[in-house]
Amino acid sequence: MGKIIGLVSNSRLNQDLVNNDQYLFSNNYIKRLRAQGGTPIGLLPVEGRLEEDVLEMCDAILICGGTNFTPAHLQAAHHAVTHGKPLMGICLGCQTIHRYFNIMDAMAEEGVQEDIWSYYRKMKDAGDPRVVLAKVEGHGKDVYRGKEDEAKHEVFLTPGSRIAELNGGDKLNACTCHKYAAQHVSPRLTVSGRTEDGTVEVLEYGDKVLGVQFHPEMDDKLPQLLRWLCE
Amino acid sequence: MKKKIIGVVAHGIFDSPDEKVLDHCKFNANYSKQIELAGGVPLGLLPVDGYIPEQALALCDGFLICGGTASWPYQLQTACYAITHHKPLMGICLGCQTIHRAFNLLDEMERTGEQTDVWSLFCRLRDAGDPRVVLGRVEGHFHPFVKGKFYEIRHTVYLTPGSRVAALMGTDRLEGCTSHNYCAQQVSPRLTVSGRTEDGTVEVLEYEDWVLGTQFHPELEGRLPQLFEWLCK
Repeated sequence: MGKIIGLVSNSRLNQDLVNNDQYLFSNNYIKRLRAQGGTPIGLLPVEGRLEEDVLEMCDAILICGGTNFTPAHLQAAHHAVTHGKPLMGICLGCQTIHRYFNIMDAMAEEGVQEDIWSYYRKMKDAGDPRVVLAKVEGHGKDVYRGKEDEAKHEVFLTPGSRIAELNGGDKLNACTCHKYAAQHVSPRLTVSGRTEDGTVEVLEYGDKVLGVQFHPEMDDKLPQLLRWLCE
Repeated sequence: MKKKIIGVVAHGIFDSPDEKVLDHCKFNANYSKQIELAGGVPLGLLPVDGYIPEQALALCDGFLICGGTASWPYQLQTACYAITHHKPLMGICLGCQTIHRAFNLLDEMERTGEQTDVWSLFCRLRDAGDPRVVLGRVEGHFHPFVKGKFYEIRHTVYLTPGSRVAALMGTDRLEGCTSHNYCAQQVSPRLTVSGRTEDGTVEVLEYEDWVLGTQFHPELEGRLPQLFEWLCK
């Protein structure tokens, strides 16, 4: 039996036509996870929140890329971290991991216990660099079928890091498709990969949390990363 | 009591020509919302190469096949899985048409004793123009879903007195939002047509007390919660 991998997807909400309010699960993630023996299921938030019952069913969580950051992103990250389940974040998912650790750090420092999303909103409204992302140039490429290599850049990995071990080398080539990146990373996270311009590309925490700013799901060249989640 | 896990089957695009990221499964937010309001838990079923892993189907207590514009193997797969495993199944719009086709296809397999993949059989009957899977064209039933204007796209569905849907609704007629160009033609003898519009269009299909298809869209307004409560009970 494959591991059940719960996916948090991109969404677009509050459209004029009600049918356009949608949770969009990109086929690439689903296909790559299945190829590694995982059984992907879609996590469907209602009013931004997920039912714990369905999170409980998951053996691991993958937070996908996208443009719409919602309470469900932080909720799924929190579920995985507090239950010791493998958590992988790609693109916006990587930024979710980054924000999640900073929010929890900030709440611990202030000695408050609050709804994680409400606290995130407060930090964001205050312009806190631990949750406000940095703008990056030259990383937002369109990925076309059969031309994935044209949307790739090199990522330099820290020797001895978890990702370097998974990758079997200190360098990888991956698709990039983002305009923002993590800044002011939590001291609990390790930045174990960067591009030449210094952009944060990989975040790790212990051996259960891995965030990548790049897109290993776009083609089948980095199967070891998705395999890690499915094992 | 443990909440029922309802596997949601969505529509999808799997053959977009250019940008890879445009191939995706799309789950409309209003279906999952109605499931949750009815006390169930929505779970998104994700197909790989046309089929949903059986392990994911096995997690579900019931199924909802949503509306959409294209038929893929996984919609029929889920309908047949629910029917053969005796799990509550609801289909809306294309989902209703999927239930209709699934029963006809299972009937045909039983009649011929042929052991085949349901999708291949569907393609074969469709290509032969078989009215058990080829849909009828209807006029005046298609409208876009503009928020706040659902009242403009409702029509009256007349329910068979004593049917399951009439019992659920506590009445012999309901107002349902409509948005489709096609409908079921030659319905399986195992299914009951328990609702029609004035023009005779098949609007409700039922089988015993655990399969229900509606050609109209009860998920749009939240005015017909009884149907989702039935699925999630």
